[in-house]
Amino acid sequence: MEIEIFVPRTEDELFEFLETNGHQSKLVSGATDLLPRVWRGQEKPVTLVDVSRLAAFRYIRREHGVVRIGALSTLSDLTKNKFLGNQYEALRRLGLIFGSPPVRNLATVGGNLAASSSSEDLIPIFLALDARVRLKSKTTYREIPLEEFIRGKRTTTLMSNELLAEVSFSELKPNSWCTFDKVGRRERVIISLVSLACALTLEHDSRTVADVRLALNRVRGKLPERARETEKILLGNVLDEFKLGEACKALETELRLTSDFRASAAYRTKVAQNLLRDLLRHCQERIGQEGDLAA
Amino acid sequence: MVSVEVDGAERLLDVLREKLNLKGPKEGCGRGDCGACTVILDKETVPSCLVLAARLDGSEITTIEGIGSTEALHPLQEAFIQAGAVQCGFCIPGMITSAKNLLDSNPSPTRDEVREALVGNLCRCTGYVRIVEAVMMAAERMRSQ
Repeated sequence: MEIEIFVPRTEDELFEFLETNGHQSKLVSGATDLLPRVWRGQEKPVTLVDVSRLAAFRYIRREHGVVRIGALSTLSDLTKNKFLGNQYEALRRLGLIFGSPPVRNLATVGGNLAASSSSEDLIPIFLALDARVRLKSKTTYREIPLEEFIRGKRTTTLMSNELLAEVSFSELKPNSWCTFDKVGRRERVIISLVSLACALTLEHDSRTVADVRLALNRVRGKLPERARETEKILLGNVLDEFKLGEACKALETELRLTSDFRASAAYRTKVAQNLLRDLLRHCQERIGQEGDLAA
Repeated sequence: MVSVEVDGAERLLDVLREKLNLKGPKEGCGRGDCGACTVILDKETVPSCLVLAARLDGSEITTIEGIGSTEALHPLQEAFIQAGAVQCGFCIPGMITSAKNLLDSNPSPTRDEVREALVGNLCRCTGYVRIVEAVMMAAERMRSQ
């Protein structure tokens, strides 16, 4: 297979290369998604640009109430990170349900987001965290909501001379919890049939919903999205069995799922409702147990 | 230290097997799902079928060939034999590589931790029970050495 490879050692080398060659290149870091597609002939780049050696884009830090994650941070970096508190359970859960240890050691945050499909676990999580992405080029950068970055299946708004450099989000407030779960055909190493990320903030009574963000791997189409209509049902209300029931009904109405060879729409919808109920309850319990957490 | 020229999109697995004649890591799926190609790259396990060789300048790689020897088996290899954890053998290089990496950082794993560490190594023969027993046995022996 005639593919060239370029391994930049510095940011300057990368962006200089992308200015003139970006349109016929594919950026690759962990390559866990892209390489199999290249071998199957589904992607035919002239050049692969392997950015995995650019350590400057591998970090997790907090600055002025914002969590910033370098796009070349691996899934292992994310899941083993002791820096983000218990509230970010969604990220720690990935240490159990994202791939396997060797894959987590290789796969990167940026690669998962840029793959832009309903199979990418990080997208619902970062949508629930209301994240933004930083797209960097030779002379400038721009930050846009993750929702705007994802345009279609395997299509993003990344320009040919840009690198997805960072994902960031405002720290979770006190009395908040963010978790994630996915359901597939087995326990581990699964492509999600349904996945749900839930970020819940309760008032100090630990019952009334101050804020809630729900993101699933599929809502109206075949891409991860927020379930905003369902969120509205919950906002400002006491999270009790009645309201959970209403939210499940709202989700059923909001979802426009389709059947495929993996699962039927009816199954996916039912599983989504079950996950919604379970994860909201779980978040509520954890907030109640952990008390008034600092972010 | 070895020096080898690699082609543009050549995988680490291909370089190991075809250019360095290290046949331990196996191609099972080519997608990072089965674990038969697992090696240790700079102290972390990776699926070598998904690693572009060109990025590895200066990296340290351990394959099954670097774990024990025919003359002096690693405790894991001894334990796998004694526990009856090997049938066709195809998954074993990857299994032992992953197990070694686990024990390097966690010398006293629980059974659940062993299972989680090996979740990326599929075996169609054994049903995993004896594999987990072997790793626990090896861990105990290594702790007592």
